[in-house]
Amino acid sequence: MEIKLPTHLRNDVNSYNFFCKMMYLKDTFYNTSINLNFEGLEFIEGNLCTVLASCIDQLFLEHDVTYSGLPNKIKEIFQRNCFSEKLCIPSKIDYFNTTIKYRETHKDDEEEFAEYVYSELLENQGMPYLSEGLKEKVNESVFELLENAKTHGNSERIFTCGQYFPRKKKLLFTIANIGTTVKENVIQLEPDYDSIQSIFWALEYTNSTKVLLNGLPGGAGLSILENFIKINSGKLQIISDNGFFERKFSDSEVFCENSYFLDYKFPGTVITLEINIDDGNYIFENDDIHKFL
Amino acid sequence: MKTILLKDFFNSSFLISTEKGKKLYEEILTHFESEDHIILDFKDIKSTTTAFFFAGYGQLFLNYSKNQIENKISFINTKASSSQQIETVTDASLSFYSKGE
Repeated sequence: MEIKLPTHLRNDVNSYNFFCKMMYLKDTFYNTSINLNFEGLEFIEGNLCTVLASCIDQLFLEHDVTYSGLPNKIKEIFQRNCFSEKLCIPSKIDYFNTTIKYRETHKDDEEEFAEYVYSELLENQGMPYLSEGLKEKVNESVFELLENAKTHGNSERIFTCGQYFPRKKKLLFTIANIGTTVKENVIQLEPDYDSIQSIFWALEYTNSTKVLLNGLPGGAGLSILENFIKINSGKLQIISDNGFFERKFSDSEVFCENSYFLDYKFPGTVITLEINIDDGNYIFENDDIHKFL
Repeated sequence: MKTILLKDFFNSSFLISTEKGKKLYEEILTHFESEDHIILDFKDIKSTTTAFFFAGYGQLFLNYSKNQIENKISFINTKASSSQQIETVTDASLSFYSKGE
């Protein structure tokens, strides 16, 4: 069987429908040979390597997987963000310093993940200056995401990757995992909820399906994350099960919000943060304002 | 007085997981009655999460009042984000267990 990749893979519904269909096809065939044909792929947003990787991993579980037709331009992107290594192609140094490298982390490798976050995001010399306040919030958000994926997703491995856009002054960071979806967790408490309602539920302050003594919520990760994105006028995107949800903020208000039911289910969760790194959005209360004068 | 230097206690600068939080909770419980004061020292801790604080600190509010806890435990050398997380967890735990002052 051949799976042809589309011409464009962006952080949108069409692309996620493609990824989910790939997962659906995986389950409709048994122990077959699958060729991923990259020939038509002209553009991919780098952070989506996480989703592609998680799909490829799933395909490998039950099928023989090969790939073909990787265009040089796409190969170059994969080499610079190190995703190429998953396709057995050596990586290259990213002289443009615009990638946050693709990484697979075992759920218990907290230290290794931390090292990655520091070297790629927080102390990367090639990145623009990030205020200490913003660094701290990015740091907090990324680790909340890790803990979330690990605990709620019941995932062994977590896929991360990102992209920095110098001219647009924004940063995209994605964390993906295959495992229990948001809906599968939430329906234990709210049996009638669909995938979108489940995402909304999970975003509510202190709503958590992980509970401690006498039912105390085990975290507030997603609401903390959303609060930061709100202050930052960024965007939060969550894909889980057949739910696609995104919320963009401007001046600390919801600027636009979209939610869709995907054609097929994604067997895990993908969370993408779009963070503004221009001056107006990254000076926080505790920052030393004199740095900017 | 008991001081817990968290970097040494966990041999790590990253306090992310619920598991680490539970370990801290157990440690606090062993000293809560016997010590007049417990200091949690976050020196050299680079990252924390609400998951860590809910498990490590928030659960105390089930059996102790806010006064008892705040008179007994203090946090030092915390980063701004950790202080905010502690505040979030305190408010949420108090509200959940309904044991405010």
